[in-house]
Amino acid sequence: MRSPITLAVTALALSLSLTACGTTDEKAPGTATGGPKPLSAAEKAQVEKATTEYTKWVQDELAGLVKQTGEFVDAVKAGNDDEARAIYPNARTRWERVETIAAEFGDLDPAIDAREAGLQEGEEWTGWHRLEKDLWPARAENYTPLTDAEQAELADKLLADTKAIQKQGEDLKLTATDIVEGSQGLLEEIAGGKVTGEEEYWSRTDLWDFQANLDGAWKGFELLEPVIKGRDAKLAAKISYQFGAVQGLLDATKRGDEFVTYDKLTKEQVKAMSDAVNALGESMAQVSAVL
Amino acid sequence: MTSGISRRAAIGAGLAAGAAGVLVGREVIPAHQRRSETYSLRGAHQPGITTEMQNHLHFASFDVTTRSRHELEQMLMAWTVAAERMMSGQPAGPVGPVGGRPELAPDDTGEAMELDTSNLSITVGFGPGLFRDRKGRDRFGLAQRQPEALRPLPRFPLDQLTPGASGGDLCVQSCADDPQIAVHAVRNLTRIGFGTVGMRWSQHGFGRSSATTPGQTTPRNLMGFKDGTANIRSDETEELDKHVWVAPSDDRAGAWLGGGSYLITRRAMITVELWDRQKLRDQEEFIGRTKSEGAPLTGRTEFDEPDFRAMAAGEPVIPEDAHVRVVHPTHHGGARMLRRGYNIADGTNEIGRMDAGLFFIAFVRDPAKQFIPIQKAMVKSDILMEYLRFTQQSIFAVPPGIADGQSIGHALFKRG
Repeated sequence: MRSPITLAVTALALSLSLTACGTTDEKAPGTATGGPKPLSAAEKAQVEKATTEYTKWVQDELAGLVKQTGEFVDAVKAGNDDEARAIYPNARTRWERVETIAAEFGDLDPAIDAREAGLQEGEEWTGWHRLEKDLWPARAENYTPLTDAEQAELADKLLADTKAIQKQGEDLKLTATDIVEGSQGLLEEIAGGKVTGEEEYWSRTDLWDFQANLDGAWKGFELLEPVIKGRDAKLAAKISYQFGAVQGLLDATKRGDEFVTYDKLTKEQVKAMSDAVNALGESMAQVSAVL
Repeated sequence: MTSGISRRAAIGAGLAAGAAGVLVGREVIPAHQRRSETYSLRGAHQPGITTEMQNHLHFASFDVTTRSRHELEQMLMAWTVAAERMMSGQPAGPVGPVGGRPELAPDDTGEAMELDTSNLSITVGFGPGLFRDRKGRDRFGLAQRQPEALRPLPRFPLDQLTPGASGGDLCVQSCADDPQIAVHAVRNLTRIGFGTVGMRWSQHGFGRSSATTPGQTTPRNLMGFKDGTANIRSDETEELDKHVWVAPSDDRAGAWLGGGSYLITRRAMITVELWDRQKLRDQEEFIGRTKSEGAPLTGRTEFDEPDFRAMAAGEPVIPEDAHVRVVHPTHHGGARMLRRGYNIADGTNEIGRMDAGLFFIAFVRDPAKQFIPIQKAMVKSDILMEYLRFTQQSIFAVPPGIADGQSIGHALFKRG
């Protein structure tokens, strides 16, 4: 499946001449202390449409997440490790697309997505990454594999927690600010954990998560773009262009249709992606000034 | 660790060139008595060259990541505004670290609040890669303006350059008496540059290892010797014109660089563990000066001229391989440079040794005459090379200062 962002890139090539509005531009909107104008009636309608669509999209992703998590859990419990490893990055894509929104639901995020390095003393480790380590133990020292019973228990809990998240998503009510902050948060996820290869320490499938975070951030931006454009066309064009730049770099890491594992990336590739995400993140941070 | 490395092998250009002197002690100025100058990019030259040397450095090198000349020029405009704001003690942006709306990220990072300018100077330079890419292709329509002298430095024998930590398309030299101020400037310029430039490498320096004004005392480098005794000082107008400032007629392609200079960096790691157990007499013979006064071995006080012909017991008093002899202007057609390097200590290497040394910075009018031959002479003949490992190098053309209403690099980017 082509990512929605890839489609944007082609359109964006046209806007290459856009100006860099530096953060020191005295006239840059939003750097003033006054704050943006209230939404007009037409804008309110646009925002309403965006939040409705975004909410539905999040719910669809969560439904997909539950389905694919179920498949993953079945494979783990059946002892089909190869199949589980194949499903893992794709199922997690569903999670990573909506992570910053879903993580707000209750306190299930740690149970589902905690990393070993982030555990507090005495804290029990469950969720995706616990099973990840068991499926890809190559980097682990003196690792004792899980027993079948332990595997099954972890897998069942993961599915149950995921279903609970989906259930909480049924009553989702989002504002434009939620969407903007959700997108900003997903870009921070990329800059903080994906581009550095920290998230998927055992499986090295960080680029799948990277793409998923980017998909989610793009979705939010894309839906609000008409409003942003009406208020600051330059900023909207710049963000579109910068999404395209990140996606282009990400596409360049693929071999065939699949991403390579993180350990196959060159330092130059990682640096270029990191720079591009920093640029995009700075621009997305300016959206709060116009909305 | 050092076996297999010839004494002549490693090298460090200009390390302690003509340095040494009377123990005068480091300037220690209480914070409340600090001078607090306001420097500007306006005028004949950029600040940070003849400017009285501050005690701290943050030097950053950037790759240009955009293909758009327009974006690049816009960023230089934004850098000009922010640099001048910060040099005058204001926040990087018009809103400031806390003055804006709480739901927005501030346009200044905030760590300079309550601090004075600490004599901050910001100097911007252009590397060879700004003009042509690695395949020699024109990147921004500037190739015809690339000066002949602005070429990547040659690879010197014994260099152990860290991959990815040399060169660069743009540089920012940020100097201040408070390290927090120096870092603040680089950090905020980097942020403004996201999407147009990405940082390639950077270097902190914590103690000046040179002196640039007539009144400034000569400091010591991490070999414990005075460094910068023979430096060109800010009041030597004729010498500056001769050795530091590029003349518009120097280079057919580089008329825009008139009033500017070439900035060269070399990061020299000193094997301090080895150096520290050399006998005092040997250390002094390696340098060619006394450790206490910094006087040449043939003289009594710091500023006495060395006498390279003096003999004692059939041997030259200043040995053939002494640093001061190898790099002295009299052996290089009178070539001098303005040095503005800093001591560095970047933690510990993988075998527990200090990663300390000198971040050499020199400003010269012609690298081919005033730097490359001297570096080659060091590699070939300087005993100090045994205690140095060069891990980084770069060259930048530092454009002249600008007039009101212009952005940094105006002369390079202007049409026609």
